[in-house]
Amino acid sequence: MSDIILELRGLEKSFGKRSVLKGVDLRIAKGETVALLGPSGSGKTTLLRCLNLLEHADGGTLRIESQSLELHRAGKKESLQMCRRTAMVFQHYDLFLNKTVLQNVTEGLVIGRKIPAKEAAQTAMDALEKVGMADRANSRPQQLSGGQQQRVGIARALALNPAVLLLDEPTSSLDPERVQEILDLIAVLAKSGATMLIVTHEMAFAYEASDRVIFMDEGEIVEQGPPREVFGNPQQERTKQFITRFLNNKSPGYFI
Amino acid sequence: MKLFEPEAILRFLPKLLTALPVTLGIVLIASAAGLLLGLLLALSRVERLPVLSQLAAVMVSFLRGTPVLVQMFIVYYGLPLLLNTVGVNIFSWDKIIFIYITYSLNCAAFFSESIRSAVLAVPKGQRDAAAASGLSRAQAYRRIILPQSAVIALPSVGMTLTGLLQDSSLAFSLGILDVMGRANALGAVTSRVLEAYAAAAILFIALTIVFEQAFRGVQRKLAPQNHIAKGTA
Ligand SMILES: Nc1ncnc2c1ncn2[C@@H]1O[C@H](COP(=O)(O)OP(=O)(O)O)[C@@H](O)[C@H]1O
Ligand SMILES: [Mg+2]
Repeated sequence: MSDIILELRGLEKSFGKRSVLKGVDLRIAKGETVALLGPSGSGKTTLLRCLNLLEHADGGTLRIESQSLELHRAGKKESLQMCRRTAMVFQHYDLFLNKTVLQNVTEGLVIGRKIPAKEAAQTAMDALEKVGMADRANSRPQQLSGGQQQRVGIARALALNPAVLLLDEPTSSLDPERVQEILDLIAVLAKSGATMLIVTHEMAFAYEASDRVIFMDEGEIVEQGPPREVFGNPQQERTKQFITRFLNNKSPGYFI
Repeated sequence: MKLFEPEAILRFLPKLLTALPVTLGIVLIASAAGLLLGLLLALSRVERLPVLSQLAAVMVSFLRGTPVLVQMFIVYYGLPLLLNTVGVNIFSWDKIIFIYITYSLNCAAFFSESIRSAVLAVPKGQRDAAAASGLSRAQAYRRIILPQSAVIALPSVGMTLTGLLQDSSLAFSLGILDVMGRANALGAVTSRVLEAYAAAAILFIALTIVFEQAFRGVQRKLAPQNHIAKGTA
């Protein structure tokens, strides 16, 4: 896997005086599934938001496919172009509550990408089919369970056909009994060749479904590698602590 | 002459009805202009636009914190003077224009607060989701945020409107012949003051009921859009 589809160099981000990302480098190959781990507040969400240009970075260069961008001085047009190369799945689903399931998916296609309505509806139905929600196309988000809403959230992102799919703790808001079915769905997408970067606290999932694990702490990448190595034989003290603490003490508060 | 003659009320009602267009005109123009201006005020504050948001905050707190009668006199006597200093002469404008301006501004202030809190009540994540779907900020507002805000703001907008209906009666203090002005005149001419005001009261009550029903109707119609409304899971 040498076809690098995403390359990030020296990403810097501060909120006020607080430096949240301190020169993050990241390379993701086409078709790769990367799990991003780390304690709460380590900057995982901010990293994803910077990649999707929801957050304005203070420094760093991002290349996705053929487009390169200096993040701190990106113009509106280039930013929008770059933004469209990724798609985001949110922790709280964040479906458009005034739209139906189908409209949630077509919105970005018709309005964002100016795709004709008919074609957009077809693309959207295909995406809903993939996540098993085609039969609820005309439902409203309020009528769906959390798990179903997240399926729609995934379809909404998939329909945009992103080069890299970004998922920020996609199962953290779900009822425990719903978590596995969403993880299974994501694993299927991973196997089908999607490129993804997923923030998760589901260690078993990271271990089994990802090609690479990245451990982040205090705005830096501390360690990365194949899951077997990072989990089985962590090199850095902070990684060791994080993993043992997780295994010994699954107190959820630590990870939220 | 009887002290109170109920039949006089019936005689007065049709006469007051002829002044209804003036009252409704004030309400209609003020609510339309107020909605537009209120939206701009609200958005400049939510988006924290430099200068504009501070200006909006001061304007809103002044308009909400002073009686509309005071605002009316300031607009009527002050605005021509103010504009005169920059060489614009509006001394000859019809009084009703100043009434429209006053009530539009007043309404805008109240609407802007309703709209602002409604916009903030729409879960913030949907803005991010809209941006992530490739929508511009303006598209996100138009298609996602504002439709939901409208549903949330509706009850308090309705309340402002009924308040406006009552407040519009103060226009007669500038000599406008709206329903109230007409009642005043009728009372003076016929010496049936109480009956004239009773007729005006009946008309205002009826109008208020019509307003409230209309709003309830709109609300019911929009109910499926309301994100608080729960359907079958
Ligand atoms: N919009 C924001 N304004 C100020 N501080 C923020 C903002 N977003 C995140 N932070 C801070 O940045 C740090 C990293 O946050 P985040 O990226 O959400 O971490 P994680 O997702 O790993 O839990 C935290 O300390 C958080 O408080
Ligand atoms: Mg996070």
